[in-house]
Amino acid sequence: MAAPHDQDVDVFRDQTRAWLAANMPRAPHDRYVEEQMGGDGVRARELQRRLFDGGYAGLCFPVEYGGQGLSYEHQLAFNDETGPYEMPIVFNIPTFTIIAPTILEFGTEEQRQRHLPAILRGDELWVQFLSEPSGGSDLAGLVTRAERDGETFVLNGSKVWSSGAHRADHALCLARTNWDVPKHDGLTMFLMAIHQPGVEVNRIRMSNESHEFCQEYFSDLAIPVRDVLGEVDGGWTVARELLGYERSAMAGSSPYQSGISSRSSVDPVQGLIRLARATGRTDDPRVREMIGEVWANEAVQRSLIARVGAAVESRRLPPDAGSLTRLSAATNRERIADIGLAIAGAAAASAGDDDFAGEQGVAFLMRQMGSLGGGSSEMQRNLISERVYGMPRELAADRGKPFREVRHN
Amino acid sequence: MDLALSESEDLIAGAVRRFVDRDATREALVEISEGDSPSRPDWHAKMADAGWLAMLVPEAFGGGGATYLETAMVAEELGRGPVPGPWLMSSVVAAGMLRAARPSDARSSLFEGIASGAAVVVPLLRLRGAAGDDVVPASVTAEVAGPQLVLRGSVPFVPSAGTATHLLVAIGRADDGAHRLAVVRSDADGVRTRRLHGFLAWNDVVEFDGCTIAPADVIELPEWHIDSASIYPALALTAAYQVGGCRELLERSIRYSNERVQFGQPIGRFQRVQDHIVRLLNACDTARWTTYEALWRLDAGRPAGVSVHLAKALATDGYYEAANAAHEVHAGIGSDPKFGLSLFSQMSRTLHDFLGSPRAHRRAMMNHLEQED
Repeated sequence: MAAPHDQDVDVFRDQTRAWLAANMPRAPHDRYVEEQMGGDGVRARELQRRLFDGGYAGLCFPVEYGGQGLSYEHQLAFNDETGPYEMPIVFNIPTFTIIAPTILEFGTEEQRQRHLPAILRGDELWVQFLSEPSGGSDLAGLVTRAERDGETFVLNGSKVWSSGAHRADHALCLARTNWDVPKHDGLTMFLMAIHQPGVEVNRIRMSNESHEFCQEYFSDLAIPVRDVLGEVDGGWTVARELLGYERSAMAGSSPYQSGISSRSSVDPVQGLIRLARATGRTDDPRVREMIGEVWANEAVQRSLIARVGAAVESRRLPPDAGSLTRLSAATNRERIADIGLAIAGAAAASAGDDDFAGEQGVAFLMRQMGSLGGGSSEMQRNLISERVYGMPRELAADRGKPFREVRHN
Repeated sequence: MDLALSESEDLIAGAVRRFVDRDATREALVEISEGDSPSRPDWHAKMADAGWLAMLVPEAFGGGGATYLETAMVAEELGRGPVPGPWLMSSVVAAGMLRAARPSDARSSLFEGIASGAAVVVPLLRLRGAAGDDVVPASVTAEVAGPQLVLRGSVPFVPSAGTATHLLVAIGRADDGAHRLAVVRSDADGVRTRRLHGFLAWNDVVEFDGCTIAPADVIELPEWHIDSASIYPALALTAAYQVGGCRELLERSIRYSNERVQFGQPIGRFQRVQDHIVRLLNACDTARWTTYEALWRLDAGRPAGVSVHLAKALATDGYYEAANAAHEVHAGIGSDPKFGLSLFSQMSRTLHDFLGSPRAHRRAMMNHLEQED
């Protein structure tokens, strides 16, 4: 184990810089993150193990679970320094930023000891099994069932849109354990191993050729009662906290994010300028206006993140205010895709793998993804109006009804 | 003017729709999208038998002598698939270029080939200006070698080139300024077609490396650019294909929002979802009625410049908007390629700058308006 880190952030930053240079490989090329995302996770596990052995895993996690017990400022300094290096980026979402803090918050001592050190060592990759073919926006209306049989639950159903389930070891899975109460009151969160009889994982090929998303089928999968996270029928409480961690992860403000890739820090304005240069359109006044528009949107977005972040921390706004930044990120992303298409024109139509304009083309096709991941933009608008600004709630056909009596797909 | 469809137009639309429903099903189109070719021999044969390949070919060459509106019925229904493949390139764009070309044996034989289905003719085009301001025949170099011409050069972004039996590529101009188009068999020595990577549908690069043609294989095309009357039918019929996509997206989205249940009720009951349906409806109607007007003007022999450019610009924007709104209605499932919705988003982007960008068409439209003042 490495020596304890300095509490002074500047000293820590210098130590980190030297350690990374001596111990971590330089990022091989721009696309290593995509390769990691599409890969089997073996390389990422090796890299995480190096960080762990050097004392750079879980900076903000408690020491008793294998972390370093340092401040968010330490984590930010560490992240700043990691840009040029090959980092185990696939661990960030959801394993470090969403799953681990949820286990830390709701897990029993045994569950924490079983999983948190293993996660930080790079031994365990996790996914979340939440959305189902029958429901995404209405997450609490899920129909995967877990029926109790003595000291086990027997799980049947299907989950979809889980990122990277094929390479992961474990999942947090939300299932219905009680059909006789309103939908939020009959859910339970389970810890489960993925690669075992009773679980089938299928990968989904996306329009942009990504195979990151999976669909899973459970048939009579037995889960011991000791693997319930939180309370039986108390899964919605766990899920709500988990979704809060997810929003903060998606907005890039999670204290549990470990390392950044140079790739993820590419400024969209710089991207569009590169595109305009590649297509010879930097002098076109309309193109200049459009890039200016994106610059302005990004400036507003940065200030929004800072303002909402500070207000949530000081409790002037509720945690659901994270939906403000999530929504604005989605609308900005759509506008960037529209403008990218307008600038790239025919060059976006099709291009070689190494052609920047062709690569932009994929973004045009995946334009809507920003408004789906982590809850649709429509759901964010509901959260903002109802939970942040206290508007009267929309009428719901299922409110207060036992779930058994509610219409569903 | 009456934009209602006549009985014969309805009959054509019905026949193509039955073909799409039975043969070019969602499953079949998804399968094609994962394969190597946008076309299937059995589909091509059925389309030839039905006369859909020959609509714009003059009757003297075995063609159907159809009106533009009748041809648009085929375009629209194929666009509903969306059925990819060379129909738009060969039976519309190439046939349109040949109609504007000077008579020659090579031209006659291509017409006959298109009409019978024996030939798939793909013209090589090039957008001019970084903003897609104009579209012109793409050219390669042609050196005289004895009695023959030797072609060299490479042309990217050619839709459906891989399905062609014949390629039309410019080799400079005649003394009077007409484009000289070489007719090249796609299986000739020295011709290579390669699919371009990237996400958009069926674009190829065509390379000519020392392939030879006879002087008789050259066709002269007096005028062909974004605002020549000879391109108008191709613009309006591409818009009709885009309209088909818009209509199908609208219908699927309405159906889905009535069937999909969340929070104990169909999602179509939520106003935020209804808003997306209205976006689709607006996009669809705008594209559809401007396109029909352009076609009616072309058939009636009236001035069509303003209306054709308007239709192409609005159908392009409308298709893009409709695809985006349909994705919002369908959410997650829409991004699974097996579901088939992304075929439309892909096609809406593939056709975005086809035959000129929407911005270029708006500019051309304004030029006409100015002239008419």
